[in-house]
Amino acid sequence: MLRWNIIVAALFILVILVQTVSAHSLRGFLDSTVSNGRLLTFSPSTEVVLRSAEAKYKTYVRADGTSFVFLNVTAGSYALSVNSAEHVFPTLRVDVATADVEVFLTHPGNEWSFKGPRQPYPIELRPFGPAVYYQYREGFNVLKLFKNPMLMISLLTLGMVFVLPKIMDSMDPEQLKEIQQEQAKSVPSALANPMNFDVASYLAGKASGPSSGSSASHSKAAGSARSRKS
Amino acid sequence: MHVRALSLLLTLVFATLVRGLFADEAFVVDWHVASIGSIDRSRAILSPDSVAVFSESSVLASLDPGNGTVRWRHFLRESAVPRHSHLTRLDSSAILLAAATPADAGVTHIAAWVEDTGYLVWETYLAGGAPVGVSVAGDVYIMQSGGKVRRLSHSTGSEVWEYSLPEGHSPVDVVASKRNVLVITRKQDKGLGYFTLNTESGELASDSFVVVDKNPAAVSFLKSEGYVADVIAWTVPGQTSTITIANLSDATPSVHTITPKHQYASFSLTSTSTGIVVTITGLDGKSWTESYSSSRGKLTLVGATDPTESAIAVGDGRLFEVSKGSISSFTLGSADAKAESITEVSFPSSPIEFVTCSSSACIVGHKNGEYVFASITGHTWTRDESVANVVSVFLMELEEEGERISLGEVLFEENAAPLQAYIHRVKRHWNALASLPQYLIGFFHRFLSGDYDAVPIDTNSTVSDTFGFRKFIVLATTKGGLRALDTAHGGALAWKVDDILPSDVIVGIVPGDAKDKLYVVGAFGGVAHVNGMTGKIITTSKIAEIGLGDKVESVITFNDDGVQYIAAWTAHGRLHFLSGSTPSKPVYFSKATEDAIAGYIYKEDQIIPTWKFTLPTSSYRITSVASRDPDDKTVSVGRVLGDRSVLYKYLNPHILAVAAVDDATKSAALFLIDDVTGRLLYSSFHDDEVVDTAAGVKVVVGEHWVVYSYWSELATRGEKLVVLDLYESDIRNVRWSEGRNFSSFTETPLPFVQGQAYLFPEHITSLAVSRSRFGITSRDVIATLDTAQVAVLPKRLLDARRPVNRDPTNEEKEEGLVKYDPLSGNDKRFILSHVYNVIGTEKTVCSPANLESTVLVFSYGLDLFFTRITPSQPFDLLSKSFNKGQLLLTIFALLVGVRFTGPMVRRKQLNIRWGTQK
Repeated sequence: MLRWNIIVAALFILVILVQTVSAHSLRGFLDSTVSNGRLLTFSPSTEVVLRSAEAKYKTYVRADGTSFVFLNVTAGSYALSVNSAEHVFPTLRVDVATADVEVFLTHPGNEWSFKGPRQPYPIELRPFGPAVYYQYREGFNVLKLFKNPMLMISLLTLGMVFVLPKIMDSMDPEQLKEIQQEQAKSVPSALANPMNFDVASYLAGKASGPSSGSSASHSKAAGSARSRKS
Repeated sequence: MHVRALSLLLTLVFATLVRGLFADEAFVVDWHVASIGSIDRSRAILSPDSVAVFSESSVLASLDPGNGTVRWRHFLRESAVPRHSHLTRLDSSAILLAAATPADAGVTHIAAWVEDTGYLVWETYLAGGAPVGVSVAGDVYIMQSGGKVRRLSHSTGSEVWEYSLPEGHSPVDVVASKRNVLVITRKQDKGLGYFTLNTESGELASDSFVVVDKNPAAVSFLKSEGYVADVIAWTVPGQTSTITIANLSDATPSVHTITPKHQYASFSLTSTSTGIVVTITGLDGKSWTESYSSSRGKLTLVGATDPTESAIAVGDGRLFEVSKGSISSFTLGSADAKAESITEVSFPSSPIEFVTCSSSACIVGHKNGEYVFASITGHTWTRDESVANVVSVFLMELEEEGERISLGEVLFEENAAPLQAYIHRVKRHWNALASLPQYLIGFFHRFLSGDYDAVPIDTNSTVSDTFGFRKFIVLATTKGGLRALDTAHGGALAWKVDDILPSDVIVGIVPGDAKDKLYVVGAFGGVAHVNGMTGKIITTSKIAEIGLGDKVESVITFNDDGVQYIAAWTAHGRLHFLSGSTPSKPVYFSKATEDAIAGYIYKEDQIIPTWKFTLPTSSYRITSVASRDPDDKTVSVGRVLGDRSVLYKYLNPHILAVAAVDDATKSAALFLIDDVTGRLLYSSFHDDEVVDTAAGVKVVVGEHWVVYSYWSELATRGEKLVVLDLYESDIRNVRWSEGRNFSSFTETPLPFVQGQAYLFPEHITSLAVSRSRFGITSRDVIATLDTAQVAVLPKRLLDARRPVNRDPTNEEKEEGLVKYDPLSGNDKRFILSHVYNVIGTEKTVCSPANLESTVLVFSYGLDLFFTRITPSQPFDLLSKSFNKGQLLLTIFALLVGVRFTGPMVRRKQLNIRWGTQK
């Protein structure tokens, strides 16, 4: 019985030797470990594709759930990619020559003559991460509402409405007059009188003032108005 | 124009250029039908707890026997040819598929698959021809057409030994047992016979070629393995009364000739635990079985059933008979067989093509593409695989909700005497009251959920929903039937018609003169006029003038002054108008062949060839042709740039984009031709890029642009997406057409073409463009990928004007341009089909919803995939995240605030007036 096994094994090796002369086989696996130690699974529909302009080879994940083997690959330079609905994989460059197999990491858009970092053989494919197809809606969140600067400003002004009169009350009248005068001077006219702002001419790309150019921006328009006044 | 507002909006939209599907919309707005394709009896394995199939569409699948859903499937188009394949069971947990490879018929691909999960156990390629016979006896024994017999290891697939047939022998089959391997061959001068090989060494056990039949022309060779007997059977031409059977399982194989009780047309063979059963179909179409027991080298007739009109099949030791409404099972071997069980099953009315059975269940294949699984316990399911082979598709608009009042009624009410009209109207309203409760329920449903989809639509009605998301997808199949699928109900079948054009092959379906009518046209001139809402055939006719040997190739529609003419174009270059009348004015059309495009004019009942466009060299071949959808609308004649100048679009409805590849030089080319005059408008060549010519060039024509894609090796490897934007002139604000319609016949300047190439991460198999109702919404390019997915790319992203190697200027930003990035679509959120495995889609059709923002997208090929997209965001639709409760709460809070602050303010004002306020 043992004798037979040896013969079978010898024959098998012979066959493999014969095969390597005419065509190559490539071995590799999908790396199922992730950093936090959790094991990834690859669905049986995961396809591994080897492609050049002349030839295309496709294989599937083996029963162990991670490894794959390409058989009968003719010598050439191929792009190796993984079709998976769950994970995003890098694309590798696989150069199959009569002597050996070289694997490089490549990025879409790289010139093919530019080889990326060398990768080990048997081919190791580690997914970048899970494929994200969806967008998620933001639900209603009270905390988020209060983080909104607009709301914070409005709340602050609301608070001021109640607090300011009380502060004014506690100030002495002379100081109050001084502050009021100061305010009247410093407020720019455009802001003091927002009704003057011409929305239509702003949208048409024209400034409201006669002095400004055709592509004046908002701040420019406001600025020119101010300079006219002073 | 509020250019700045528009550009502001555009910039906002650009901020979210990558817009994925919302998680709550997945599986709600889209649906997917996973098909396997037509099943052949010889490539289906049925056992009590599994169904494995290798279909005509090259899909290897395992089905759940409980409900018929696909457990797993692999699309083996690149590695297995169904016609030269053998599917067998390797052991209790694995199945084995041996098939010739499509690239090289001299190579066999053989692979073992885990039946429960679909993982690959092992695979190997064998040179030496297509598989002729496969036999599993522990290890795998395979015979190839090149005359090789191989033993492959059961667990690794590695070759144990190989045996070559001697000269002059042609391979027939291989039968393996634990003891020996019988290699059955045919020798011209000797006849049919076998060699015996040693199982362990693969060497001849004895040198003799044992002849079992001297007639070398033995035909209808059949094999059955398992149980007590490995048998082969064959017949001799001209002989319809005897069958020769060789029992190979005995120590010295024995040959028997049996004489069935009637002359036969065909027969099949099953080995059972006691002997063999021959299932015979007589010359009159009736079928019966004859059971033989095999003992001590003899075959003895032990029982036969009465000939019956029903389809019969033998499962493990049982005979199953399928009649109109039931399936009954019999125990074999007894002289007077009595039905053990009769199970009521409603089979389709379509003729039965085959029945294949296990010990407890059968799969009944029908001519219309439906496969019914029926077990003796009464458990049934049906798979309609006709939708895996679609010839033509039409998306049918349904009636609008308020359309219940007919035009006749309106006219009556307008023209009749006032009293009569009034009575009629009151009556109509009274009748309409019947639907009030349903309306109210729907209204509150919608009000509470804010969701129009939530409004229940009767699945049997032919009424569209408010937004026009519900349509019927009418599919014409190669099985000769029509299927209408309801887009709003997950692709549920709305209606179906089988065998619509008897003894004809459907070429296309086109919308007819009325809104709900369809024309179905067959290759041999059959025409059916069908009601698209109900599937009822209105009339059938035949194109009488169709010549002998002539065939309808395609259906063309012409639009002449609002009147639509439908014509069938034949292989002999004739046009047959279906609607009776012919256009009064001359009409122009063009037809593409493998290497040329020819233009024709139809004038006064004559077809005159006008122009012919031939490719630059003879090694070029056309891979795809596209033109703009005639229903596509243009709202803006120009493109407004950042400085408020305008580039005027080259809007020519007759642009024909022709994509070609050269297999010899591995190059690709694109030509834009005026379809009326044959004038070449633009051409581009991709000569030094080493193009994958087998994949070809895919092309689509949009409003004033063309997008095409091809896979090439240089300068970088990947799918190249090229966009060509066509303008009237490269000078801004210049428009030679001056806003008037221009004719193809007048000498017009060539369009100014601006092009840009992009790189796409996956391989594209087809391209399509979205079409909204009024053309205001921007357009999306939809691509089916060979990763079994469907992707969407906004045309705004594929813009030829994106600034290269620099940031956009403010003006360009206002135009909505972002910096050029060669890699487009490198984000999984561009994948429309998300987690669906959409295999083999080859075409996509788009149809507008009632909402301007929304486009319905339907991809077909093998699988069907439907979804709806909003290329410019759902601007006319309230967002699903819109919180009605929050709105109401805010209003309530404001009311409360007003209630409290009102008196306060009033008091204050009063105080001011009285002067009591400081």
